[in-house]
Amino acid sequence: MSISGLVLHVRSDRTDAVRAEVAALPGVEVHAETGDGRLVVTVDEADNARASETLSRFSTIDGVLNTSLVYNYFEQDSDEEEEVNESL
Amino acid sequence: MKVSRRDFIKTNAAAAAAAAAGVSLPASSMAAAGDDGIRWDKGVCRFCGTGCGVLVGVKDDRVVATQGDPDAPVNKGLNCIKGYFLSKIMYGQDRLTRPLLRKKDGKFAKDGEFTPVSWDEAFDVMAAKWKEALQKKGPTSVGMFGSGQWTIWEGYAAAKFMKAGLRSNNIDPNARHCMASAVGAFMRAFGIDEPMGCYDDLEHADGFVLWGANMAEMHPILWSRLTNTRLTKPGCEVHVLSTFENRNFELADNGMVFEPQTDLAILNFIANYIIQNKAYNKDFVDKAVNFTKTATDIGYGLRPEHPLEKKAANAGKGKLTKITFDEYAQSVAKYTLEYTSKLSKVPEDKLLALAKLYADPNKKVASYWTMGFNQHTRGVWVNGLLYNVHLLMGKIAEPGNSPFSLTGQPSACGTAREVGTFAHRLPADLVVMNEKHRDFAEKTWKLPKGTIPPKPGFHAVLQNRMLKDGKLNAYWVQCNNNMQAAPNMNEEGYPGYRNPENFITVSDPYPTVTALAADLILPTAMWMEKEGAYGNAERRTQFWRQQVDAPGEAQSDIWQVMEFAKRFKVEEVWPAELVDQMPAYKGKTLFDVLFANGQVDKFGLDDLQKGFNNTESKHFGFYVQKGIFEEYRLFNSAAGIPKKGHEMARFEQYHQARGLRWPVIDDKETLWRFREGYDPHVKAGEGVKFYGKPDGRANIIFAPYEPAAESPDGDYNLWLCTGRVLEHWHSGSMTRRVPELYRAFPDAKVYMHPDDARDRGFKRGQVVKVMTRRGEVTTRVETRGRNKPPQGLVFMPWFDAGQLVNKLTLDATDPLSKETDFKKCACKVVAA
Amino acid sequence: MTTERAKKTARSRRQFLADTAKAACGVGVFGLVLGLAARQAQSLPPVALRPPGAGAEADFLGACIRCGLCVRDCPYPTLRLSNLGEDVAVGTPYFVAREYPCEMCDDIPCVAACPTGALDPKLTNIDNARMGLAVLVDEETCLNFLGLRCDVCYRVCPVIDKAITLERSGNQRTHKHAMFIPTVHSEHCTGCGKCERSCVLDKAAIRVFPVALAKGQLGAHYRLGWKEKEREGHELVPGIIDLPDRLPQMPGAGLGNPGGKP
Repeated sequence: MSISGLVLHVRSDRTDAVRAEVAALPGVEVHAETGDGRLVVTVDEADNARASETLSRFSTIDGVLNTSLVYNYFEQDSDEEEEVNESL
Repeated sequence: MKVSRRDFIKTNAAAAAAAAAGVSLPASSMAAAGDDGIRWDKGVCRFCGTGCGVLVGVKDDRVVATQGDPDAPVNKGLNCIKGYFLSKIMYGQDRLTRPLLRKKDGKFAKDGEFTPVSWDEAFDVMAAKWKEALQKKGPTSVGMFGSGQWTIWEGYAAAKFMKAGLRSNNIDPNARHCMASAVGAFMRAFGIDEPMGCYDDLEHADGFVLWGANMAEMHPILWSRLTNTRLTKPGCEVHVLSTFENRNFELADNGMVFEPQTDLAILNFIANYIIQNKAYNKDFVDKAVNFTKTATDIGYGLRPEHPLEKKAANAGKGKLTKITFDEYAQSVAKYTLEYTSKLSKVPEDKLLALAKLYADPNKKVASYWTMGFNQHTRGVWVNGLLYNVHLLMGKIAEPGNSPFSLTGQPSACGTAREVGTFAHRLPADLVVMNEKHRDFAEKTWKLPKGTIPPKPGFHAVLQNRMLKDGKLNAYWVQCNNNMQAAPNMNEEGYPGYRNPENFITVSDPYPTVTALAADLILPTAMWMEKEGAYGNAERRTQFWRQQVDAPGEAQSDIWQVMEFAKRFKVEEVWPAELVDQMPAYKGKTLFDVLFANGQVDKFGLDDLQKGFNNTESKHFGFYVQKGIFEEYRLFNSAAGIPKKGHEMARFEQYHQARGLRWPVIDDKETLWRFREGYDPHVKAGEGVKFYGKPDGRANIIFAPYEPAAESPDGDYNLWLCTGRVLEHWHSGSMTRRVPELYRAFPDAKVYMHPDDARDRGFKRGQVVKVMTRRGEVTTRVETRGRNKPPQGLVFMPWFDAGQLVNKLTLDATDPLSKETDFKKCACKVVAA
Repeated sequence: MTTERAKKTARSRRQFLADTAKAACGVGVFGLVLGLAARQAQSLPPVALRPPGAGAEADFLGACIRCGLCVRDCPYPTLRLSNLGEDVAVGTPYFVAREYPCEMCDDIPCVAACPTGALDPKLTNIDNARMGLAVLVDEETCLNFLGLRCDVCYRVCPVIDKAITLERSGNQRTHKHAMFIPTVHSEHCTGCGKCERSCVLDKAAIRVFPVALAKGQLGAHYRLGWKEKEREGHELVPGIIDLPDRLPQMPGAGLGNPGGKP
């Protein structure tokens, strides 16, 4: 799993449209916005490759000025190795 | 556990980002993240004809989860693996969101590249092509190929648009490949379509017989009900017949692999056994049955110039002749145990055990079948031969005694059959050949007399032939993937689609093989992106509300049909004498005449389902689905209708209920038809009445064994049978886009007996070519696993768009039902 | 694609950071405060299964000369050689069921390629391979244990109906449907990994482990009476007698006729 927290800078006249478009992307949630066109979003993806795809899609959305990654958590989705190795 | 941990991390991520942005997260936002904030509403599974109830979870205009509806009577909260992944089927990466037209130098060109266009441009080009065809060659040059996956109103609107609007009966559903033989047999035996029993028979029966129905994979939830009865009811037995060993055999008490086509003989043997042992129910037969025989040597539904058709004495004939009981007994007398066992290669003791189950007056028997019976060049016959057995014993139309035709598509019954999307049908079992039926339909639709043409249109296979021959020129495919599904597409369908004389439109959510063979692709809203209704195999009609909006510019099939209807003025498509009958229609469009007719547009937007969007209704300004359904009810539930027995409840009741089994009369469902006490159409004292027939009697119809259209010989020395697997449905167009289902069964392979593989020097997993006289497909050999063919037969699933195996099949059809036989042709397998 | 993903986790993470750096550049007001602290390094390798014919791990390691011929001759992307930094002995062949299972070739090309007998040349029937043993590890999430009709693991099993069977029972919640419980039989399971690979859950509920991890062992001090009797074909202690029980004479009571069968 790959979970990232980001701040998007958005042109103020496009805030609503961008919010809708961003929220429609898979794994993306909009948590808050400031009055001056910044959106707080999280991206929840199966892996970093997909997360990075989603992130690069942000920059193609009309009205997004900048994307800043603030937080990233990554963990390989194979806990089975842990368990097995513990029991070894 | 995993979810809460994930949410915890997500909350951290959001908090960190919020802190960086200098805002604090509102409490409500965090609360919403904790409480998942999902809205749940009832729906129906998108896949097979079982009709499992599901609850659909929506958040932020997206279906984020589904669950089996724990209170749905069919499935009680359970789903199969396809149902488990319902929430993912709408979100494939390659959803189509804009109309795509083949263009070159900015203009439509048959050999152009797909280019995004506006809906206006798409419909402009399409309408011009349709008008050109109509002008040059008349209404028979336009056609439509629809679906048992259409919602009820989509099928109704399309049929009305084609038959009454454009005056062309060239509309047929893909259910032609699936259920047409079942329909033909219902009409011939009972005069009214669809099963008399219901799924409750799965608990009431003492014995089950599966005739060419791999229920274990194809109807997984019904199979778990059947299995439960087998486990819990003492003495319950399961008999399975198939041309190869499938998953049913695992439960079977009596598993029988028979030589393809000999099911005809086996059924006659059972009838013979019943008569020889005087086991038949004399009271029932005297009271409720007529004996007839059908015309024989009827050909194989191939092109008329095919040698097999020229050779047939009665090609395409379905005439029934009345005979006596003794004559019937004589006709089946030939089918002795020895003869039948030899022909079918089923051991005598197994055949005997099967016959005994049917002949035992104390055992209630439910028989199930799907494609093994229906996709059969004698499909109508073989359906009828099974009714013969049940009728001889009177084991019919009561709890547990139930010959039951299962359906493959979610609304094969509710849409394809009930609203009249076949080339010869009108809503509620009416047919275009019957003048009274046409008159009634025209009157109900407020159209001039003579609008609906009396001649049946081109059926599915004929449509492909006519496309190739350049007689069908403007063609619209909705909600199915016929290039992958239909037989012999190499020789018929594909040349037809690419014939420069033709303009092909395909509406689909995804770029299927069919869509990519078209000239114009229309992006289509699917499943929960529209308000819908399906009818399952047990006559249960189920509704759902629009849960989310479609992506991009995608629009539902009904929106497309109604919007396209606006492009035609009445004068452009009707002769003057028709228009003159109704001068008020002068200058109007087909949309005005068919849909803004005071009936379909009767209900306003105030009636819409509160809290849910309804894209089409908001676009057209009236409650489209309700208006159509209520107009449809004028065919099946109003006073003075030509055919009783299909009564439906009011529109709103379906939105409140978990589906209702018709006929719905006095606010009550009907579980068993034709039986006093259960069916309100049977009066007190009548006992059993097959009221679809004027004399209230069902037909026992003798039909003999006749060979298949193509059998293995010389070079092509194996039977080829195509079919499905549990993991994939509807050609895989949705299921293969779910990564987990793709992984579960990624690519098709050819199942072969290990000895057949060894004789050809194949190793398991080796790449081989499966070849017929019509083409070849490259695949891998599988000698293990879920399907175990006998020597001499191979089985290959057709869900894989990379291995179009149905193009190898022969386009031989049942001459009566016009349904293709995908289960029998000759092939060879060679090293690639 | 998933294969690649897991194989190259480390690299893909670097790639991710590079990508996001690109996405983030422009204003750069907010530093890339990565959640490194929140992340646990996950360098553990996948569960390694050995090719068919490999014996006990110590024996195998002793015999394997790390030549890679078995990997070369594997016609599928199944077998690979362990790299530096993985927990599998460097240069030895293994596969990961969830990524790409063994396809169970009839002619077992990997065994044929082995020059040292580390993969036992006496293995000529792939059904006799014991690469591992499937274990249904999580009954709480297995869809069939919940009453759904998944049974994908069963249907993909190349030794279907032997290595995995569906044991039927009633669904005590619906009272209408049967449950089909996937049950692994070690005497037939080759450990090919198809079931784990195809499990549709986000994390597989059925997994293939090396036999040493997966299999319990009964104490030698106890025997299963019914199995011993079956094996012998008769009672182990012959000649034991029983006297008839006295019962009331009730003709037609059907006592010997449970279930009403005539």
